[in-house]
Amino acid sequence: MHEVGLMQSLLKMIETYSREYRLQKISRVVLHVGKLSNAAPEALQFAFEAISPGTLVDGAELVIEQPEGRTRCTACGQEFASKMARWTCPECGQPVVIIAGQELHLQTLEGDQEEETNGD
Amino acid sequence: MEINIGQHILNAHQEITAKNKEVLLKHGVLTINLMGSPGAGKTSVLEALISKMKSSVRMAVIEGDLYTSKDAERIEASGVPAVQINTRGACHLDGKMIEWAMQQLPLADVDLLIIENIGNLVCPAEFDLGEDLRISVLSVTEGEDKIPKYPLMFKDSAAVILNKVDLLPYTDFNMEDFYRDLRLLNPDVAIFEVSCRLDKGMDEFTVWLKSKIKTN
Repeated sequence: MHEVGLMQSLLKMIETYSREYRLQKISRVVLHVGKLSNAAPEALQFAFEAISPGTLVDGAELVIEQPEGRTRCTACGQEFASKMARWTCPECGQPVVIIAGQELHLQTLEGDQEEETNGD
Repeated sequence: MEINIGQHILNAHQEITAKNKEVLLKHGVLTINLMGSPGAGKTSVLEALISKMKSSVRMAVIEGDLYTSKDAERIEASGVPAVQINTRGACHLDGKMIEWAMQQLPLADVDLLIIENIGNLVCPAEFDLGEDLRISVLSVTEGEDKIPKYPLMFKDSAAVILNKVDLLPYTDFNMEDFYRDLRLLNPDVAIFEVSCRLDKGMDEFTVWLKSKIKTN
């Protein structure tokens, strides 16, 4: 996966939401990175730290939560918790589809809102 | 202040791709995302396809490479409009690049658009370009073990072209393992054994692709 590129896209997204909610400094970013997505949390952390200096996420805490993976067999319909991406059903050997664990989401933003200026 | 968002990090990219797909749908264009390793024979497959199809199907090609316009030049020499994207380092094509390229093609006069992706078995598989079908090219010299090693690429392909079969006598390519591993991953995949160099097998592939255009 392309962790630096992903973090740059994330930063753009954070900037857009910050404008909308008038946040001037971000203190915490929570990501959902599913266990079956191809992004590596350590690499994301590293990339985040590399691109934050001088931006509005400079010094922000990055929290990465990892939703569990689940797959469902296209033939027998059984569902399985999956730690790793798998392609065939452990019961009948037919192909499976991944139904959870591929999230790559910006879940929550925490920051200080701009203060309303009261005209004097 | 805490804000709950729950949006995909690549949402902006996905929106561009969705718009591209709408435009292609509007013009009734069947779009193929052609993938494979560097040197597998993607451009050669395209040249062979063009020579067999261009008299009956209006084609256009988007070429993706890090550098040079060599491939677009080859396609244009075959008589089909081609736009070259140079990513200058990016390892896969994305929606923004496709949007730019589409603006330079006469889409109203195109039945079949083929996007030749960057030579790479990893990253292109993860980026939807708004295509209708994915077709991957594997060459005999790469080895049959690439199928289980790069499952996403081959699992999502509607067709896999096995190229350079003329070189089989000079390799240890295991055809049985190739078919078994590919069908395990992707039971419905169409498989074509070809040699672009010796014009072997490409007629069958052309027939298959034409049937996809008719049903589009």
